[in-house]
Amino acid sequence: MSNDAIRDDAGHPLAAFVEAVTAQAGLVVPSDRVQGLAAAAAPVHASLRALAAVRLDDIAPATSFDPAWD
Amino acid sequence: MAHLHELSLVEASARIASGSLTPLELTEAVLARIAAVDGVVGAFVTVTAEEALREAALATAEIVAGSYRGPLHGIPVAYKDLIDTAGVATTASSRVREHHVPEADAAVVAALKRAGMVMVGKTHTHEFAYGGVTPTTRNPWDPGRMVGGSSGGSAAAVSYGGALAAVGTDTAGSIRIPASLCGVVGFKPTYGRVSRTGVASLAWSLDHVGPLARTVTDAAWMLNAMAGHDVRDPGSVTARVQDFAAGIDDGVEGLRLGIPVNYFTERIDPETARMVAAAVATLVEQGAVVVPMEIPQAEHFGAVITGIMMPEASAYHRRTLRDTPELYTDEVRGLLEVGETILATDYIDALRFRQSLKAAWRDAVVALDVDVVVTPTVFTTALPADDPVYRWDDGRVDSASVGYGRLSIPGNLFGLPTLQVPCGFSTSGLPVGVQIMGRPFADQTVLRVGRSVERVQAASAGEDPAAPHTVPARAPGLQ
Repeated sequence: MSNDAIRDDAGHPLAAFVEAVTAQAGLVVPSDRVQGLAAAAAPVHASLRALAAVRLDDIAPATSFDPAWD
Repeated sequence: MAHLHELSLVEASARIASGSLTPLELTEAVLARIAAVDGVVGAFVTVTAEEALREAALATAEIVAGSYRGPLHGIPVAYKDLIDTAGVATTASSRVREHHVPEADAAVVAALKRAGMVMVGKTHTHEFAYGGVTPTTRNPWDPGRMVGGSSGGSAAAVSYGGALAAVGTDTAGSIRIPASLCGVVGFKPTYGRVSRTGVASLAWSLDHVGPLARTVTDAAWMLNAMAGHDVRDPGSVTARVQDFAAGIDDGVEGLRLGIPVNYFTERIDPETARMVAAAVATLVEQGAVVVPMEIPQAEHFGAVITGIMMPEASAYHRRTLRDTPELYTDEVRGLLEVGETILATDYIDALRFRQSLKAAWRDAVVALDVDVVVTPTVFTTALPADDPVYRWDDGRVDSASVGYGRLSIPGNLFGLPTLQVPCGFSTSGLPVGVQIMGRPFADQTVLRVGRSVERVQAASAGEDPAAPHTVPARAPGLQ
């Protein structure tokens, strides 16, 4: 699946992407709900694309969250 | 003279310790209050009246026999229905768990039971705590208004006198938001302070358990019993458990208050902003120092918490979303399905981003030598239940489900101790709250600042500011 097939120009996931990823994950989403799910996912994915545009360099994720500062 | 159901935990505890009030009398009064008003408010999923009376009678007998367990002994408490209670249905306000009756108490329930608290029931939440609204519950100050969420039932119950204290959970503001809208104290302690064993998760790396109460000291006393390391919770910390009420009345002389100049000042209802500024002014009058503070990288807060919370929630619900999807509400099912579409790389990047944001917040606080950051808890007061949106003069609209959580996010992303304290009432008679965020594990400092706000509120309400623990009348519309 090409990038063009999974996202529109604004970075929103297309129904085809939602259908593919939910099928791959074994999650049954009735066909009449796929379009709605893609629309609901659109702003979430758009915000994540905005995050992805920021360089994080070598910052690693914490493997468990520790609030301490030292 | 206050009705028994209006007492603060501290006041009731003093009466019980002196023998002028028994746990049974207090519990009977609270249960009568629930019977009188919960039909309007809908704070409780389950009222455990019979068991509560039995426990209260036992506590009364223990105290008479000289076996006083301490300041929480015989005090009525309510638990959010996300928190396991042995032998009592724990539904998470969801049909998915409609028939779930735990065999064991959550760690926090066991701890408060050991301290002698009397459970009066389980309180409503947004389904699995996945939302900033508690649709089943109405605001005691105005039943036409919402309570926020997701610990909305707990906040409402404490507000109207259905319990003297309650326990809630907070993943993106779910203790502080409803506490603010209902005019009570809500405290999200430092991440890992309170065990989450036996508590349904929304997002493991953001979830906290904490108290809701009528006064800051009440909340500190609750936390004294709730905090502690638990090897069963991988997020639990080994930090020493302090006496969280120690020094709580010492005031704020010399403390440095970080007052944001961005993010927390944007899209705030003008009346809320004025009242929070007035609360800050009272702290300055008591000797605190204002330090203007630029919040770094705040534009990313929302996306980062979304990128963490949604996949973690979907992972938690993975099996039931496949086995019984029809049992979820359409709203929560939809959120869980969206979480399934988020890429693992996006989730990990959100975790990396959190480390970057946390470092930037720490650097700003350390550079300015700030003790606490003070902001509004919620951008406005309780919105109408049948029209939960705020309309700005320029035509923009903020929904409760998104707008209510915007100011709570840093506390969860960074695990900071964060307190909501009432700071007065709007012209329409609705509670307004101030949020106090501290450094990690500086829970005591946060509570001390909150107590200083509270003392001034008591004084402005015509109560004796010298009295250590005063309580304004609550929820007059339900009298």
